[in-house]
Amino acid sequence: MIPETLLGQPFVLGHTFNGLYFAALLFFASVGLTLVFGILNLLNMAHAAFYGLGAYIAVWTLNNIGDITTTMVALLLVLVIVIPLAVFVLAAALDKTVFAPLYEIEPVYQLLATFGVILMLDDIIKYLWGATPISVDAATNPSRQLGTIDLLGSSVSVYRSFVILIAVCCAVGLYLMFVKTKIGKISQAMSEDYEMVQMLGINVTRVRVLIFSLSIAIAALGGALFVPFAVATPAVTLEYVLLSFAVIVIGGLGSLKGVVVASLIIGMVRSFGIAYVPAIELAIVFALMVVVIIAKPEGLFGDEGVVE
Amino acid sequence: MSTRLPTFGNVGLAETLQNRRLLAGIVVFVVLALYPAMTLNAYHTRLLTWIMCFAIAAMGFNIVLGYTGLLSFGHAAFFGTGMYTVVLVMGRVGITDLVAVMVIAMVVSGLVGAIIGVLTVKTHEIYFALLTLALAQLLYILAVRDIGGLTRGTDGIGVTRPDFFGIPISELPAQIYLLGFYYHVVLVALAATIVLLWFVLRSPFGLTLKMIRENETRAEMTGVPVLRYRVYSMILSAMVVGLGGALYAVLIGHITPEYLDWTMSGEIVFMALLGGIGTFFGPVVGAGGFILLQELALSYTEYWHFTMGLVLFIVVLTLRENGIWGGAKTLVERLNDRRGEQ
Repeated sequence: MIPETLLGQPFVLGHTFNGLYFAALLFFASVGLTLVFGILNLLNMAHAAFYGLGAYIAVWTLNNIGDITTTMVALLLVLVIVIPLAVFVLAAALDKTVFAPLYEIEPVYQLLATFGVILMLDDIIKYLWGATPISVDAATNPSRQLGTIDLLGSSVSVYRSFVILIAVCCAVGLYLMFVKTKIGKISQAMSEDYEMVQMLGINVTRVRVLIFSLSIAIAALGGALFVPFAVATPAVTLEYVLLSFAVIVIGGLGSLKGVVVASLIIGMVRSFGIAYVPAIELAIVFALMVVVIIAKPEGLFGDEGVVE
Repeated sequence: MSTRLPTFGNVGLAETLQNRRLLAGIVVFVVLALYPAMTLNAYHTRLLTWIMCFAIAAMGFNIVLGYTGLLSFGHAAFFGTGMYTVVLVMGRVGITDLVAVMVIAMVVSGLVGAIIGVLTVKTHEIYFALLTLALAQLLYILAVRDIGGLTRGTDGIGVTRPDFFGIPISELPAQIYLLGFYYHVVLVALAATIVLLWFVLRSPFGLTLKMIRENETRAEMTGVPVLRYRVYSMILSAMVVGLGGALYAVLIGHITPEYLDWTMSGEIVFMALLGGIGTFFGPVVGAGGFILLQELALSYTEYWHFTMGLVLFIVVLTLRENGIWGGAKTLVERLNDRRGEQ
């Protein structure tokens, strides 16, 4: 017999909110992975490592920004605009150097080479910030400063609602980019036939660098938004590498809609799983991944284009 | 559909008995067998034992990648199964004879291999990699969360020393146990694995696996039961990797779920690739290269992950399926050719 409080509305509402928040983070961590694979045919195992990098950069920035400003708007702008922009530039440089030769090789070798990139990034992070967990100081922590509000009888974190909102904006923004803008349409064409687009005289390398850097920047954005409500540890990277693969496999490789739906599924599974079956909560995620690959290898939406 | 990873020459059985190679093998075996007694260096002996355990695992892994053409990112499942079987059989069941424990570990790993083999049989390329990854990760979670109460979670379990045909070797002093006994057990296991796989992979069975790697559709059309052979290859691979894990468990004496984690799978892949997945001895060389490189990097810097990552990245982009062993072979051939011309 389940106690009535467990079935009560506030409790379920709380888990749904947690699930949405977790889904938002998963979306940030994995959307770029699926786009880079779908459009550029690169399976970048190291993708979610940039989520971890974003988290560390955010902790460092917020802990050093106190002397300049503690205004909430400024702090949020740093997380949402400044850090992703910085990582965007970094990613563009990496695409031209480290990742450039990987576009030419088979997916299996891409997996292995980018596994090497994970190992390198892991140590770069440890070198810069140490191996012990670090967190954002209370004075410049937007999550603590914003507090909670009361919604239908349960207290809801304002900051985490903000993160969910940014994820929704990001998903809508990407969708509009693909259907409305020229660059988006070129990217869609590239996912269909890369060489044909190249032959039409379009500078595919420029589009490639843009898509790759944008994808990495979104992952870093996710990490930056994640960290005020958590701590940055080297394990975060490895955890999200695995989870982001679960997301894109369940959603279907290369599908924007797939990432949104799969993030929601895994977010909810984990949120309710932690509450009701904590011992096997992670196992459910991988079991789901196994079932999808066996029963429907193309994933929920993988046989469709990037945005259909 | 198969990934065109490595390329092998078609080596006939006559060539396998080529005297020079056999002789070289015997010399290497004898030198290795005498090494601990000659040097009495416990550190080196321990390092060599460690390398040989992983050499067995990497060779087993390469049956699936190098010969059948499928990249598994879940072989930690078999390595870890071998390890946990040793602990549980000795601790819970009470069988403590080394040989019996090893045989049981291989059988159990083979069973896990059969299950994973059947579940993954229809997937290819990255889907195969991701499915094996997910399945292995399920086992890892079972071990971490201690579901079933067998593994004691992240604390891990200690391994006691085994017996050997009723001889109480577990009472030997630690140095003599390692230098005089356990090192040689692992050496014989490695030699047996090499000889066995040499013949198995040159038999019609091994050639069929290569055919599946080169062109699965064609293999299917010529009447090869492809799916069944893929499961066989997974079982054989799992048994060998499980043996490596079981031997390693007895060596280190303590087991944690980390050996089931996907980063462990990554290390096994790394070793095989470093040595050369397109060569027979590559994985052995790779295991040695990996562990020596790790020890070397660790003695200079705590940031050995970076070094290893860089090496992996460079190997993938330059040597590809040849690895260092294949690269060295090509180099020697070229030098010979040049000498011939002069």
